[in-house]
Amino acid sequence: MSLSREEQDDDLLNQLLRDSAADPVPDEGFVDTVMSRLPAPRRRTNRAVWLGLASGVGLAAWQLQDNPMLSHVARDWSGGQFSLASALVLVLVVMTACCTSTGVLTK
Amino acid sequence: MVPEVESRLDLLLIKRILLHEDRQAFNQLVRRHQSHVRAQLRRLCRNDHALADDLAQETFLLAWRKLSQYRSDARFSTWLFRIAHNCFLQAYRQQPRHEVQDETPLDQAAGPRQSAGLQRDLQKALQALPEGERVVMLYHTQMGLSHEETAEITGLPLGTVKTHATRGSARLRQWLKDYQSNESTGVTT
Repeated sequence: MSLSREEQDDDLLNQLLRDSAADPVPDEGFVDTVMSRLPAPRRRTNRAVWLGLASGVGLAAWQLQDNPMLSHVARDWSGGQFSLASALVLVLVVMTACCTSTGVLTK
Repeated sequence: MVPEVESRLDLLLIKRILLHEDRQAFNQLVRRHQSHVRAQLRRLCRNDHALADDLAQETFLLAWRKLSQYRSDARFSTWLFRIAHNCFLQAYRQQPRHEVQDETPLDQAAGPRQSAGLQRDLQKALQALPEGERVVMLYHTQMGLSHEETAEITGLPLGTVKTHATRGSARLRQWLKDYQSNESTGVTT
């Protein structure tokens, strides 16, 4: 069955339009330009580090809660005094926290 | 490549980008789609290649930022075309009307003997269509997208898309008829 004139024109038009759209556009550095304009990579804060650190501080506090030295230091701090003992306790808490968090992270 | 395979590959790359912020995967994604997006924008911008490429860059940068919003119920290319179309519309609205309008009446768009070939004349005739019809003809006929995809990209109602497609085709068919009769009678304008 032969196509009507209108259908032939339609086919020709569609063919011409599709042919014109088929030409690929060469890259010519386009991709590199886009990539160079991307925002700088986000510093991916490792949630595990923060989680470990928080757990470490918690654990250290829990372990030292019955220690008389801690209550002594707490009294010092509430009285606005910063003694050598309290500094030592602070260092110990931080170190324990770090060690514990490292332990948590390496597990 | 088979369209389904293409889509799966896109999804795989998108997953890698979203999970690991993988720039190499995004590089691949841009490489795979840049040609179509730039060709689309060049036609929308009436062959202003510099503007089209600027908009194409904006398109991909927006795609990078909004990739998590992509839902895989539509093809990735359709999603990308929609971003590109919105970028174009934004630029189109910002420019003074006289800069983007090159309205030549369709019957004067391409004097049959004035230009080198049918293909070039047809492009001129296409550019001379009313904006809505031109855009729909670009997506539906030139790029081979479905009416639904065209509606998705342009934000036009499906019925309007179909009407524009019918009217645009009819106008171009008439233009072709005139072109052919002028060719056969050797009329110059």
